[in-house]
Amino acid sequence: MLTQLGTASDPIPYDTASLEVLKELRKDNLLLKEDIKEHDLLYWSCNPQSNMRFEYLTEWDPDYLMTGTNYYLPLSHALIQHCAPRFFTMYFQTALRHYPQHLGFLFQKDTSGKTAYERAVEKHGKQETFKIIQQCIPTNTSLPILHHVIKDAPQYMNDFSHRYPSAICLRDDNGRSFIQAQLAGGAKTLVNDGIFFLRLSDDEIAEADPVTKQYPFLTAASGESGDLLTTYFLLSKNPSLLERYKEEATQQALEEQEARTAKKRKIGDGDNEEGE
Amino acid sequence: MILVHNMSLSELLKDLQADINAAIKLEKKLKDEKFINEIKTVLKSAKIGFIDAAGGALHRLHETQPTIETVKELIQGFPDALSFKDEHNRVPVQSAIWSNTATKYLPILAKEGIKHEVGGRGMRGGLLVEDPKKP
Repeated sequence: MLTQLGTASDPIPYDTASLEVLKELRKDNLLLKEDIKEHDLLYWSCNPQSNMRFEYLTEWDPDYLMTGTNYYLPLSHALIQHCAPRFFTMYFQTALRHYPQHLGFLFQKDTSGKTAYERAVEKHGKQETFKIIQQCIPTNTSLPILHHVIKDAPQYMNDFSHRYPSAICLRDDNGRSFIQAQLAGGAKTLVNDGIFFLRLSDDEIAEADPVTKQYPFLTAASGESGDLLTTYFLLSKNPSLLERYKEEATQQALEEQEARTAKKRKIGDGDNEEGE
Repeated sequence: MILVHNMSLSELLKDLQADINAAIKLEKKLKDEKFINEIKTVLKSAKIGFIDAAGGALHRLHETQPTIETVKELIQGFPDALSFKDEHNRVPVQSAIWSNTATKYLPILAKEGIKHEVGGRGMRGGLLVEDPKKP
């Protein structure tokens, strides 16, 4: 209860006093890190009137923002399901700060496969949900939000793309452009989205994926649903890529061979020194 | 009785001490078991009264705002007061949570509560006892 109580009209005095007590209890081992999980402390403190306590506890155990559960739901879902929108806003802001690479768990799934975003739309409606999202992620964000959408919830792309149009120009943490993220998703083929491939520029067709180091034609060929028609189309736009790929692959194989030889030689020299 | 009401606490305690001393002297000489038993009953109820009064004081820390040292002294004098329940069925460590002027006493109440197993063993001096009246 110390993490939860507060005065809605003037929350700071109680929040400050309680925070000081939490610190002292922690110093005396009367508050333990495992209590955060045992007693759902992040769930109970995620409340505008206990903001400082919530921040303190999340700094102590930020993992719990991801792994925490309450009433068999992930923490993100539980706050959406059982609390007013402002509670989830608080969680989302903090989760975004700690886990921008997971987009603050906006697309975290519960055991049924429902995402937090879907639950929020169900519970609060699309307009209110985007009010929360846009409060935490401004339109001119540097977060590659559309990359996350295309990867985790592509069916909602339209909902996000018109609200975050400039995010289409961003690159993700791996250096992937939005086009590369779409290709890496593996779902696009010439047959199901011909316009997408027709609009690819020469530069985009010739740019290797920063993660797999593969050209788009290879990505199309090697995905789970490797599609020969798409591969052929991309290669036909720039046939020299196949030659370039061969040269690079040969060069890479040579470098690997040299590295192996050098390693063996080093081991051999070590053995000789021991023999002497 | 009017006289008793007008006495200060120290005067009252001195007076009581004199009565107790007289009773101790008489215990063996008087050979009146009923007298001894009645004195015992009075003192037992006084003892309980002391603990209740100290417990009440621990529930009113948000109003009285004593120093931590004073609270420690109070607990050391009447350790059972740590388990005294108020009208909401809360022990003092639980009452202290409800006011921002009393939360500062939580650590001392919990630390001393551990020594006296408030709420039972392993309950961190009452910190882990469920509040009877959750909001």
